[in-house]
Amino acid sequence: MSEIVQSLALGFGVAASLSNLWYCFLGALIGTLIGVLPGIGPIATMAMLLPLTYYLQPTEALIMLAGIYYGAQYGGSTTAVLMRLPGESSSVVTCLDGYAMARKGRAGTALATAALASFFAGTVVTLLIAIASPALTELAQKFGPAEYFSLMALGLVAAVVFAQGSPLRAVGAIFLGLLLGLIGADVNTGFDRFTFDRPELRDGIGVVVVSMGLFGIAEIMLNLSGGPEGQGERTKLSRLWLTKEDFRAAWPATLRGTGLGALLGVLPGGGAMLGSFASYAIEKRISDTPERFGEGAIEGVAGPEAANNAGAQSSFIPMLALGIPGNSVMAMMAGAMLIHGIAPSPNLASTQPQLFWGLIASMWFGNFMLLVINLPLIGLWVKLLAAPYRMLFPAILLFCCIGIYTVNNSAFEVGLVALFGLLGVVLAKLECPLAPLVLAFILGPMMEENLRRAMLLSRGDPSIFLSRPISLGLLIACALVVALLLMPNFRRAREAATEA
Amino acid sequence: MITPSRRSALGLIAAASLAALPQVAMAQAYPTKPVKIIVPFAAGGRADALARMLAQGLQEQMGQPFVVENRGGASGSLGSDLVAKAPPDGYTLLLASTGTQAILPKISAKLPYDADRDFTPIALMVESYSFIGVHPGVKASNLKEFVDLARAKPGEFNYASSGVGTYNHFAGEFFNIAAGSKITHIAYRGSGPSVNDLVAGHVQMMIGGEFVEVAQAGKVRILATTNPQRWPGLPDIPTMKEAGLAEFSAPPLWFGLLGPGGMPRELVEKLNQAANKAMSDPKTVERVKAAASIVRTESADAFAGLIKAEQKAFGDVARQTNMKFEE
Repeated sequence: MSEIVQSLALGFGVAASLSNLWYCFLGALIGTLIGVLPGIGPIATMAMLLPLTYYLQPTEALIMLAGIYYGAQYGGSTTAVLMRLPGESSSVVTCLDGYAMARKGRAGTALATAALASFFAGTVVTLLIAIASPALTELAQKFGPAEYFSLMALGLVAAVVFAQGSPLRAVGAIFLGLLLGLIGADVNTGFDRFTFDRPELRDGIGVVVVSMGLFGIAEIMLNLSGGPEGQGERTKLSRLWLTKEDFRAAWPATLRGTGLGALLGVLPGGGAMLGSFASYAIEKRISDTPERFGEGAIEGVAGPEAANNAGAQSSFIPMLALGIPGNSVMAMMAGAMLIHGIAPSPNLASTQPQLFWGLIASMWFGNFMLLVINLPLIGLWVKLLAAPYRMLFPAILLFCCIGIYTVNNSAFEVGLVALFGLLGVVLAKLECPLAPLVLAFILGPMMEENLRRAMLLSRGDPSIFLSRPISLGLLIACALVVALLLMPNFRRAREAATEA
Repeated sequence: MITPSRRSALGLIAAASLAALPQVAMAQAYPTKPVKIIVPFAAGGRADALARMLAQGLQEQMGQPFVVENRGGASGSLGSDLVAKAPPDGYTLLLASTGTQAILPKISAKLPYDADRDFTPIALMVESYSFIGVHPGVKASNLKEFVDLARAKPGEFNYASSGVGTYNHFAGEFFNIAAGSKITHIAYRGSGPSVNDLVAGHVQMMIGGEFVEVAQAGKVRILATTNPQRWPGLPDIPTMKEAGLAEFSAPPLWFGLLGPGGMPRELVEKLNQAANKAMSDPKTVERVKAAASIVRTESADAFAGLIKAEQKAFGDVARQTNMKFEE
């Protein structure tokens, strides 16, 4: 323990140097901005800034890049709340209740909740990184293909919870999401599926493309069509802060979201993104008043926002503890290290203690700076809502196009976003819930991939899913959720709840 | 008013002056505007890091900006296609690899370009080291023991790759052919998840350079290097030949600079020399070494010959193992 204190002291010494603080601030600020701009994600931004880090000290470079990543998680919720436009794929869930809150004039409260929950999660998980990285890495290593499959299966079953209204429509949305997720080269054979000979589709469709189209673009079209979701309802804000009741409702959700996000974030692959979905599902499930979800429940903002920031932070763990980048952002961090001739490795803490602990300590500063940056901005963002819509929406569309284009320098994807916007309108008219679709789109490919990988490893013996304890546990949980859904009284209660 | 005869005379003069403009002069003047180096992979990877090192070196020598542009997707064929269709004037270059030039053309029949005709090899930059790594739980302390074990228990072991048709995948199949073993291929999306499962022991073997650091911490056991020479960074690790599997014939993984097909000879020479000089910079050599690679400076012809030889080697294994992207 004293060793950790000593190491952290070293880290704070490094991170508190003037230049490191500056790059931490710069990273946090850039992260916030690109988080706010829809489409431009941390990956594209880090890629653009990578050549510049060539001229920095490695510690400065990594502190800044890390700041961009977790800063984007803060900023990503802003447009999700204000315009139902997820700034980052991790803020898709925030669109649900955050936007509903904004429509009720509580945009300021929603944004403050998101910032505070993110801050709480960020600081707690940073501590977790410092003290529990090895243990968490060990846990993550226990997750083989079979465990992943069962986890994804549980997630998919839980997706029905996201449904508002008829479960049949939710199931339909799930299947549509699964089908969309199949597009691209099959991992096991390399063969194309549903790509219509377009090489651009070989790597599948990006989550940002799907969620921006379905949520953001579709919302703009619906607003302009003046339909039931017309712009007349755009109400002025009442207050910018949380009431005592808000705090009481939000903090347990924040706690749960933090824990959930931290655990899922450690898993390599899409872990960090799953946290926010999982948190939302759990909050809705355990709430006494699940009917409030989708209508502006503050727990539906606090939990997922805490979870996505916790996940963003804890996804550093495999990278820092093992030197293995778990997602593409971490691969970018590894790239930045390589530029400076530092290879990411399990020995990073002993060979580069200054960099290792400096980076961890900087996350505390970074999270604090983000809170300082974000809270005063809330007033400004909310004022944006007062701008006339006819001026707002062309600007939003323009930013969307720029953002999507920069991800892969691909005009094709800009066209795809438009297509998904259209699909979003159709689905809205049919009253199909979008969150299950997006969740299935994310989970489906991972689930299939791990199913087939597990079956390959077991040479075709399906008992692998039952003989491994973690996998078995997850599948039992799955069965319980299904049983609950099928149980008549629960169904009635659920229907009564959704109709209310 | 220009009469037909005058027009044709003007045309003749123009044509003559164009023909007289020696390509040497064009090469001497190069570059007069910024040059684009296309990396056909996502930013942050090895190819990207190399491209940026090269770009900086070329920029310093030639006084024009060399801009790196990432155009990832479809195993590198999207970015490669942009270069294949660009004019061969030296202002659009490609940072290619074994994967894009020697492997992809042998497993994909649908490429929108001709991998030979549409590219001009300019400079081999880097040879990357690959190693046979096994999970520490595997009961084999050297390559010979592992080969014996794999032969004795066919179908028991698995090897990981970062995807179908990647270098890791091919190297694994070259191993199966050389050792007469039947180690099952397990494909992952990218190298992160594959190394992760190797460290965790969900798969037992992988051939590549991605786990060198992890191995130095004892989480993966390296049995041999698959390159023809030992890696200076791990001088105790034997080559395949030294370790008793001389039949293993996978060519090493490289990264190099190419241009569109039909680039003028002089331009190629000029870029080859500049690239070789940029890569020989001591700081660059050091940085390349940190990523389990060495700098290679060869003539453009030697580079072209190497690509040809590799295409054959990978083509043979692709045929033997029926590895391809389409039916």
